[in-house]
Amino acid sequence: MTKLAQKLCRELQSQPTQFHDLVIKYKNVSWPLFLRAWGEVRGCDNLLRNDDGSYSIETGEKN
Amino acid sequence: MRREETGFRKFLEDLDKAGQLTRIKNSVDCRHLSALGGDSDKAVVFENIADYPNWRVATALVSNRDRLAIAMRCDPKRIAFEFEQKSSKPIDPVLVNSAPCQEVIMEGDEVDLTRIPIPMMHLFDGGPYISGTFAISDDLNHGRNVGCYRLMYRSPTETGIDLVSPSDMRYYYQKALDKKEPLPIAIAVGVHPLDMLAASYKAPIDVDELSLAGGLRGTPLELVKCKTLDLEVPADAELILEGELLPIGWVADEGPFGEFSQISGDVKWNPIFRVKCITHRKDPIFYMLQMPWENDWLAAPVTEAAGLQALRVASVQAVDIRAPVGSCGYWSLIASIKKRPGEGKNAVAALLSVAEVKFVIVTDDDINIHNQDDLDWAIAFRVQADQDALILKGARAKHIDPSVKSWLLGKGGLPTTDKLGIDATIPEGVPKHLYRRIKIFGQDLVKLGDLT
Repeated sequence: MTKLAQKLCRELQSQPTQFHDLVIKYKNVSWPLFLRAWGEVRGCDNLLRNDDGSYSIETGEKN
Repeated sequence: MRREETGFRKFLEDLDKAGQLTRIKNSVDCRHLSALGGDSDKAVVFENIADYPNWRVATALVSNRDRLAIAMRCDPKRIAFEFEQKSSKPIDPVLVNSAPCQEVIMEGDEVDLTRIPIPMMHLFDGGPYISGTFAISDDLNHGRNVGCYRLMYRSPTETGIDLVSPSDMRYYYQKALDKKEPLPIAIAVGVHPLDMLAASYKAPIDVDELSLAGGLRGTPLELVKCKTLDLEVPADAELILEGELLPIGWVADEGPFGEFSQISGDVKWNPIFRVKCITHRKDPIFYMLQMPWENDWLAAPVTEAAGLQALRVASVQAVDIRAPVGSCGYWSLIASIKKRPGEGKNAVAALLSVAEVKFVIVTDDDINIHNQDDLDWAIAFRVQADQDALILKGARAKHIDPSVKSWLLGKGGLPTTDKLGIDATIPEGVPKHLYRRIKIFGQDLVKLGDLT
């Protein structure tokens, strides 16, 4: 997984995030590079969609 | 020798000549295309796309009735009548051996959707979207089908596809799914708006939308064989995606997307489109269909023409018809008719049978249905609720209408809706002179401007 994809995953592990929030946060990354990293994130088995359309990644850790 | 352009590029020229096109030469990021396109009162071609040196992007081509009329080559108020007349004279497509849409070919490991300037369109979208598609599929029994289905970028080789609503391609996919087989499909991007109109027309399953497109263009559509599929695509398209819908059913998240209902939609569960080959022109123009306006204006003539046909089948003489853009050119129909006794109700019933139209008003032909005040007057004085309102329960609906509560249906479920029709024609038995409108005495004889 690329470093950018790892960063995106960490964002989604920390809290549910709308796609546009990721786009804004990484606005200085070239678009094709961002898309490729997002493609890697989409490949994660534990990627979840929430009712409001946000994305999150389940870590498996319990409080 | 290069063939004469009759498609997408010719339409851009037509818009240019009519003063309806702006060309932006500054470098624009894919994240800003949608906002900048929405900021223009004209159609826009972005000539310089950051990180995509050979690409241009066109948008807002038919986001009002005037520009759609340029595509149709008719008066803006005659679009539905023109559409209906031309679509009744289909012209079969012809096959050619080489095509501009296959000047560049990416196959196998070369397939990479990130090499296409797929834009970020709306605030709550689930990803970047390809919004203006012309999707082709085939079925052994029913033949070729074309429709418009949005694609959400998932990875360099996969997109989501919105296949929730009932459609011929959904039916083809279900048949393939039942056999646990993928459904091969080809997606063309950057075709003439008339081709998009043909694709969005709810034609009977055995009708070839590509012949309809020929009828609307007035010349046969040129097709070329796909590079990896047994399908044919418009030769003059800008971009082609060849691939298959995976036999997984409605299980992959897709959306939200800025829907043509003017609502930011919901997460849906849909199939996945795997891209196996990308072909395009050497200097391609990506078409970003501007939501909701282009979709709504493309929907309106299709809905209106379906209404005209329904009225004809009901033997009611239509004078004018309108699918208001406020109802997205899709959910409402307003028609004026030359009425014989009882035909107000016949007309309402006929128009309520059209697709997912859920609200209908029928007036006499003295009412200008494009004037809301005139329409309100007819409803105020020609309608008795207990006699002139017709409710039809449990009819077919679209998921994106929140009032049908489709979230209660589960994955792949299909919603229903109740429909309302209002007969705002002069009631039978009421003398017509009771509707005589005020006319000022002498208004044709004297003018204030003539007085000094």
